[in-house]
Amino acid sequence: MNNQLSPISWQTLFKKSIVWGIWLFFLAVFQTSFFSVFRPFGAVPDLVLPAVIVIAIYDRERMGTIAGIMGGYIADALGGVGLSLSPIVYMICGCIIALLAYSVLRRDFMSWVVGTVFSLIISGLASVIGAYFAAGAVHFDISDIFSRLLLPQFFASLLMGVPVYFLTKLIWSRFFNNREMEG
Amino acid sequence: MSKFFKSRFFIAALLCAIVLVTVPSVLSVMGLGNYVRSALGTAATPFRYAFTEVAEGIDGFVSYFREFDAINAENRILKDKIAELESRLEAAEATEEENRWLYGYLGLKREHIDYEFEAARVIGRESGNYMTIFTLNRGSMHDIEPNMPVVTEKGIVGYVSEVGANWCKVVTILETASSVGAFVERSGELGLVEGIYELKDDGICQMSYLPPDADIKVGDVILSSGIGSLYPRGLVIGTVTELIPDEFSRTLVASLKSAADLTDLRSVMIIKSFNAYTVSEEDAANE
Repeated sequence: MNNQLSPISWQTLFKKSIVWGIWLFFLAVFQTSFFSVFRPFGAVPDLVLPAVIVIAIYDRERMGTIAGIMGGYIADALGGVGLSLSPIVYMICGCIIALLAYSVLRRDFMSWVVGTVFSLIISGLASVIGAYFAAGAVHFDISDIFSRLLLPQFFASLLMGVPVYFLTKLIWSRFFNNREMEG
Repeated sequence: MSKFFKSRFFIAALLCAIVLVTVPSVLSVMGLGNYVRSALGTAATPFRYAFTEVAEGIDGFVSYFREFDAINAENRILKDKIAELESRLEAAEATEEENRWLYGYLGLKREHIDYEFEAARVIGRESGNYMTIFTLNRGSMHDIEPNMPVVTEKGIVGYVSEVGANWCKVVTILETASSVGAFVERSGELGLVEGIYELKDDGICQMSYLPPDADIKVGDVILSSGIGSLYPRGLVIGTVTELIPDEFSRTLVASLKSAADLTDLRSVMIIKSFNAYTVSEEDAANE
């Protein structure tokens, strides 16, 4: 286990934030446009959260936290309505998965799958809370939300997250892998 | 792990996240705009437009295959409908033709209320290229008997020569075995219409035994006389096309074009009964 925090300079953190911010913005745009037409399993997949998990796994807890905040905010800005907890949820997912990747898990695809499943469940719970406020207590039907919203979105996100994993890892390998420990 | 959650970085990040959750939510509830969200949305618009266009293009292409079975099934249904409509159209055309045909007979029926008709279809033709013997789809089951006259709305076709259970054969007036007592409609000149072997292929028969000075000319309409004949009086036989004097018998022979078109005969009427024409003494004296 490695309990050491990632030694990364603020300058590097800032540069990485810009690159990952652009990438997450691009994914959010793609998610809210392309997948509003193509809906795997009848739902719009979440591409941003799987990308945040990749960043967290390979770029460690600080970048995972920042990527979570950025990704949640961008996803809400482009696709959310009303009350949305995404910045907090994505941030928590990002930092927890990053810490687990350096303590319990490994930096590989399976860790990403575990992290993404965990994150999607957390995100789903947040969606239930958001739906509760949007629909109101009288019209709130948990079984309906579960079958029509959460399950399709979960599987769609996991499925579409696979190419996102490889693309995000490709970006990380090209731009940041050799400078990972910089600072 | 707990070290990270106690770090200033995490606390700052958490505060930042809380601000990013609450501020937009509060602004949204207050109905105020959020400049950052607005800027992100503006920047995203051209990309969204491009991605949506691509997605819709792909969706249109994919939907062709996705909906192929449905389109195929629809195509089959439409083909069936077209076939059904074509069938109905054919039936309607047949009905229209039958109506025209029956309308023609209606005039005949009005003129001769004593006629009892039996409609029949031509189901067979004999005698080489030019058919002068027909088989009809009516027989003894329909009370058809030999020697019953067969007509169309235009004129005489012939007579029933042979009867089966559900069929009968008709010898036309063009056949050499046929002879019809006739008269000229305009002048009343009497004669006998017979089939001539050499002319029947042209649809021509002859009216013979006319006196050399008979009042007859080309274009005159010849009707059945009803005297000693299978045919009722007044049915059209044909029109005079040529007049030929016979030097040996010193009579006049008229060539007739049959009124009924025997080359394209499909439907006819069999006259099952009619009031036979009888010659009174006065008529006989006149004739």
